[in-house]
Amino acid sequence: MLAVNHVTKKYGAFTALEDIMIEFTRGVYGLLSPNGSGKTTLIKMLATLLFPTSGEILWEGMEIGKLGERYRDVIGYLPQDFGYYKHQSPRQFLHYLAALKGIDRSVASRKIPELLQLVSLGDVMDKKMRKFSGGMIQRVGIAQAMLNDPRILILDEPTAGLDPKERVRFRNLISELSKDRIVILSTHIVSDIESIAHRVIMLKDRRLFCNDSPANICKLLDGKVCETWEMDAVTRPHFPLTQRQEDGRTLVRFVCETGCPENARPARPNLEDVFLYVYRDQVM
Amino acid sequence: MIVYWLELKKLLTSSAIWGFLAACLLFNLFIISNSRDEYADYIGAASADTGVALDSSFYEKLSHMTANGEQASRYLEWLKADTDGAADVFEGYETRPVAERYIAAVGATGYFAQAMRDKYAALQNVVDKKAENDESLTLYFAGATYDRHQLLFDTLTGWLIVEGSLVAVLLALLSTGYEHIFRTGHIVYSSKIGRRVLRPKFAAALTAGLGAYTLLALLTLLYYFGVNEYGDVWRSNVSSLFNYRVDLIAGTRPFVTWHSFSVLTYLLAMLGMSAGMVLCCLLLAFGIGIWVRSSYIAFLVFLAANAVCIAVPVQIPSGWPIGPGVKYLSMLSPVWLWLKHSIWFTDGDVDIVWAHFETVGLCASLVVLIVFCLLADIRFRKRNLA
Repeated sequence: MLAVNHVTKKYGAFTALEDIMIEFTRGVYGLLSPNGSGKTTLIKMLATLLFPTSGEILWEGMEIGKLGERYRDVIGYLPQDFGYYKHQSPRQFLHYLAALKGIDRSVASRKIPELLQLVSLGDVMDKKMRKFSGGMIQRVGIAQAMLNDPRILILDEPTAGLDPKERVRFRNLISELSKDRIVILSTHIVSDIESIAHRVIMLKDRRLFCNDSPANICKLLDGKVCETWEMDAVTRPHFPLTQRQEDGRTLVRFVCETGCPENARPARPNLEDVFLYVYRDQVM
Repeated sequence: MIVYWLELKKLLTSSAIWGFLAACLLFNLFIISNSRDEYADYIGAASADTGVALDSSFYEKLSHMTANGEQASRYLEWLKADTDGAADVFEGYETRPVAERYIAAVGATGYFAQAMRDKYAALQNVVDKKAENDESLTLYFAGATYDRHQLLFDTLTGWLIVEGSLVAVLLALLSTGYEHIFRTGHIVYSSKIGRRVLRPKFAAALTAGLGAYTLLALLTLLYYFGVNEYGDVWRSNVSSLFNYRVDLIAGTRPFVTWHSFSVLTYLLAMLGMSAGMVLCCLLLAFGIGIWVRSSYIAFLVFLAANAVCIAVPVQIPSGWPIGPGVKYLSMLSPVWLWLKHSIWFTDGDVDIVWAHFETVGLCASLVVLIVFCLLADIRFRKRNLA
């Protein structure tokens, strides 16, 4: 189990995260909050790049800083800003990272092509990465994170640059991988995690806002989400969520704390509704 | 070990480094090509027949030498004139006046004045021994000695140190800044090896830096000795009566080394010492590279650190109580050692109060710089890598 215990992170006078308490066991954890809310700070602390100002992060009961390479040996990390050696091929680059991860050369030689096939880069594994698209680079990043078959897979904005088809493939891959490991997936795109996350973690005002299953989180807005074709007729106080065009008309989805008005029909809340409503005051 | 090789490969595949090395080599070849001395070449060739010890055998062989052509005849006459009546310059040579002139020139008092006197008292013993062994009665390049000695041990050695150091600095900064340049720091430092990757990075930079210096020195010297005839001069003593130092305070005086060096052993000692200087620069740059993430800024910091080292002893008021101490200690810094490379293994000059200043300076610099790198490493392990 990976446990974040009362972790606070400050940069001088600025507090990025305050008193965060989370426990991670097997499954996909969706870290969902707007940009600038502290997701990456938390992720970097889990990846040992940042140190908590106070509190501790424990892996199987031991502080990760003290575990050192024993902890780093069980993590796979895809940073938000994934850098790579442009002049190298994916195979060369992964061989370098395999060496850093202490993977035996013969094991790496067998595993690297398999992983590159898995992320659909098998036919370009010996091509220089200089001319790769953003999606291809992101897939190299996913492959390198999986290189050491990590027990904790940490992915910071992993779907950035992926096209819709690749996103679906990625979601399926993560879902498959999460059966026997912890997957922590940071995103501000709800659809990335809606269908695969066992639990969704939301941060608000530098603190942990919720850590629950998507179904339970959606219950926050039970009976409060409505849809209407006649938005102008809604007079009660409300918060607009989304709009959808259908047959030349606009279907508006909104939250009304006092229940649905007469000219609107109740709708089943989804994670996107909660996200928009919870972070309604924040710039996204 | 595999990480070391991969780090080394990263450095050796840098085309900029190879380009810089090629430019340095071309520059050195240009210097050598423009410093030809036919008379010195003639002496080098003649030394194979005459030997280099200026004894009766030498004069006898010289008297039997014949010259083909007008120019060779002229050179033979010059050589005879240069070596005629050669006398041991160390016989009766007093070092104490040198000490007193230096002390008077800088107004040294107390410990530093005494240290200067002690140094020259120790040198007097060396001079007496050299006189006893007739060390100065050696040919070297006779009348062409000064220019050829300066070309090899001042100009070329000086440039080789600068070039080798610059390459080593670039390699060290490339090694420490590589992940910053390619934005790969996050995946590298969160891998199993983590921040300990600095160790193989350092080993790779060290290998590449010293390797680059060795390659540069080897190719430069191969060309130098390919075009300049040395014959039997290798065995000449560098403290030859024909070799001398020009000193503004103490005047022109013999070239006295603490140990007895032939041209060959002196060259090897200079090359070894130069490699030590390159190592110092590499350590300094590596330490700075750990503290400062951007390689470009780190390079500027490296230049600034050396500029400060040069400026401090020049600018510090001599009236300050710590002034002389700071000044004399500064002379042990790598940049000052480089500035004084032409007098390594000698008594030094007015700025030097301790014997074997180059060895002491190199050892002290290495210790300080190793500690600096270790501190940088410790700080890096605790640093937030945002």
